[in-house]
Amino acid sequence: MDYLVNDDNSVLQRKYSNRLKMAGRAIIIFGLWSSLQVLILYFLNQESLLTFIYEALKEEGLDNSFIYPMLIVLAIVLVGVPFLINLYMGLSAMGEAKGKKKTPVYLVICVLSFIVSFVSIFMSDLSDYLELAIASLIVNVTFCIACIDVVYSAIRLRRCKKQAKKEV
Amino acid sequence: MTKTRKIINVLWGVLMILVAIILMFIPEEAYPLVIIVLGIGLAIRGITRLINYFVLSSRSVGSTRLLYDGILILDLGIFTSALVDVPVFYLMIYFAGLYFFYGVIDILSAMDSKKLESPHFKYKLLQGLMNVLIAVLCIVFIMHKDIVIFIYCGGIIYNGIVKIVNAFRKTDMVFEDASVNTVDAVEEKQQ
Amino acid sequence: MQIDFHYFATYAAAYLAGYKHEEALDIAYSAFFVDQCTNTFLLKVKGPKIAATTQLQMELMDADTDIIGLQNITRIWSSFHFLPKDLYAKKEKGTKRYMKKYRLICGPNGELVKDTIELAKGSTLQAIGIAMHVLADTWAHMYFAGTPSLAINTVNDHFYEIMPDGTEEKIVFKHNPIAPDDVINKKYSASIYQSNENSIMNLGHGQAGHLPDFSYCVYKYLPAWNDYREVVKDNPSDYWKAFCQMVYALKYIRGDIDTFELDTYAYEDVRDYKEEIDAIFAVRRALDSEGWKEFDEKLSGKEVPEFDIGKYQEEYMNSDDKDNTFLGKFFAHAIKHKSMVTNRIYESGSMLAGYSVTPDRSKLASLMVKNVIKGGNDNDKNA
Repeated sequence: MDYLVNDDNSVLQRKYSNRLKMAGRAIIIFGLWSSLQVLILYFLNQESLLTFIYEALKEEGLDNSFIYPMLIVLAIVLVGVPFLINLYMGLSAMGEAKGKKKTPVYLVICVLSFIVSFVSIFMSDLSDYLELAIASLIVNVTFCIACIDVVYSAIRLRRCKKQAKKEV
Repeated sequence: MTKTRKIINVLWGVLMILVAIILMFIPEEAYPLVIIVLGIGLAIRGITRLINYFVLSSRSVGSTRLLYDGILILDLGIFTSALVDVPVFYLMIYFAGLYFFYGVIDILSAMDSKKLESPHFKYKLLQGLMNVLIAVLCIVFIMHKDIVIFIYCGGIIYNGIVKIVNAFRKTDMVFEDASVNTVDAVEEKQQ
Repeated sequence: MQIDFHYFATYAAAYLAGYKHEEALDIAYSAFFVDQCTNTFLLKVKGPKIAATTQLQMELMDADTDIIGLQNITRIWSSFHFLPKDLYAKKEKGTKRYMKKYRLICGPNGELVKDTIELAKGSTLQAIGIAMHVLADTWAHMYFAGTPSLAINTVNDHFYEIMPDGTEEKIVFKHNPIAPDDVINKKYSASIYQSNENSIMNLGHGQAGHLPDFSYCVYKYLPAWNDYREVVKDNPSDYWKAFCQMVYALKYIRGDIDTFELDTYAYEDVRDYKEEIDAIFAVRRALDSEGWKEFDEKLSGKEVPEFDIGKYQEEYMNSDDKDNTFLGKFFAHAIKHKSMVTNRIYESGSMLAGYSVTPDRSKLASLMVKNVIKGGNDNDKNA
């Protein structure tokens, strides 16, 4: 009995589902890493978004008992929400790679995330804290690549599956 | 190993030992250098993975994982070297974990050797216990910058010595035609 | 493969090929000893380090992965456990560095198998045992390479066991190095993924766990090098072919057959035992030693003792003429075989197994000519 399934369509399906899975995983990991960078810099008292906000609120003359809850809320909004969106995109991509049916919503969000990340690449200021800026740039560029990979692989995978259904 | 490579390895080993000794005498200045070097080490690991992806694995199954892993490690390295003042606490935990891991490997290896009644198990066991002891010292002196430098430089000196010793190791040469070897002579005698 | 095939099945193959009981035992002992002759063992008996035919897990974890360390690992594993099938294989779109590793992929019926058998012909029983181990492993370990390589040896989660009724069950490997495989409940362990190209975890079939060594197992997966195409590994069928090819090779070495041809099997000689052997392969268990031992003792009517690693140690350690002891002969041929394989790899343009030096034949020829001329001059003088 021949157990091998090596026709061209099946091979392509395997290839694109593997790529989709890896790209989805990359979106989750790079999204997490991007969020962690912001938090690490804050806890090590180094320049970061949260540090700037803290200093700005301090300059306004606000008390710590008011600042810290605000910071927590802002951290959740600025760091937590993007991470959750990345998690949704990544898990949807990995789910589709495993064969689960997924709506194109996550692909639309992927395209939007790509646009936002792409624009932020050009908004990076490399003049201060060069290494940190480079680290951030690498994350953004990779995130963009992963988003393109997700969209491309998902579309190719769906086409292959459609073709397979037609042949049957 | 070619002669050129042997010379490079010896010089590199000597340089490592000298640099480590110098750093031990200037712990305050050495500390940020240690962070930078650790970061650069990670970055190099990431670049190696990226090179391997493009040269070896780009068509292999699941190769994009290697690409993303490489980029992540590279980014981690750059980020680490950019951190100006990592509390010594974190670095000591990293070293403690590293030495404990290698200590356990050495001890398990020694137990394996002992089962096979090899006389060399004592050396391996000693090495393993030393590594575990260093890990314990890292926890005990967790807030001491000087100890961090001492441990880190000790590791560099050890690796430098190993590099020099390896440069003088005989390269295994193997002969295709066993008639120039004693092997055939022995077998002829037996026949 | 494991002790069940390398020791007990090799005994059966040797007996069926016409060797006497004691000779078959020596061949079988040597065949399995290839899996025991580690650096640690050699240190203990004060044997030559270069004769190592395998490495313990701990030795591997301890091994350097610099160039010399990698060459040493490749020499051992490619020579004895993952004999390359085609050192001149071609592939579309592969870099030079990739192709060197690709060409180390193990498989049966390669030219090196022929060279291995030829090298053992006319030699000692220990040499024959080593050749049988190498031949058998080309069947079990096909599709993997005996060098640490992520690009060649890694697998992914597309891994299915094909059950006797034809259904496919997905295999999910655990990464617990201590827990043994639970073959009844299909719980298998394998090496963890390591993104370092030269990591020990990427040596041989580590990523596929012990599945290549289970004779009952039929499975399919995606090898890293096969461009997302599946391969099926039908162990019962492959092990049967390995057994029949061993009988054929042993008959050739004994002198009953004139030439050794690849892809040739002694089916006729083993036909009467096929059912019994198939029954051994069909049982779902990690080791078939019991089944094979029963078969061996029924075949020869004599007891086949359990393998004892210490059997020949005293003889070797206390002897003044070590080369003529059992272990001495084993070490001698292990070195010879390793040299041969390393040379073939080196000659193919790959440094992955290190340097190999052949005697300078032009120097040898000029020396011979000089001797002839000298002989002529001496004759003239005498005349």
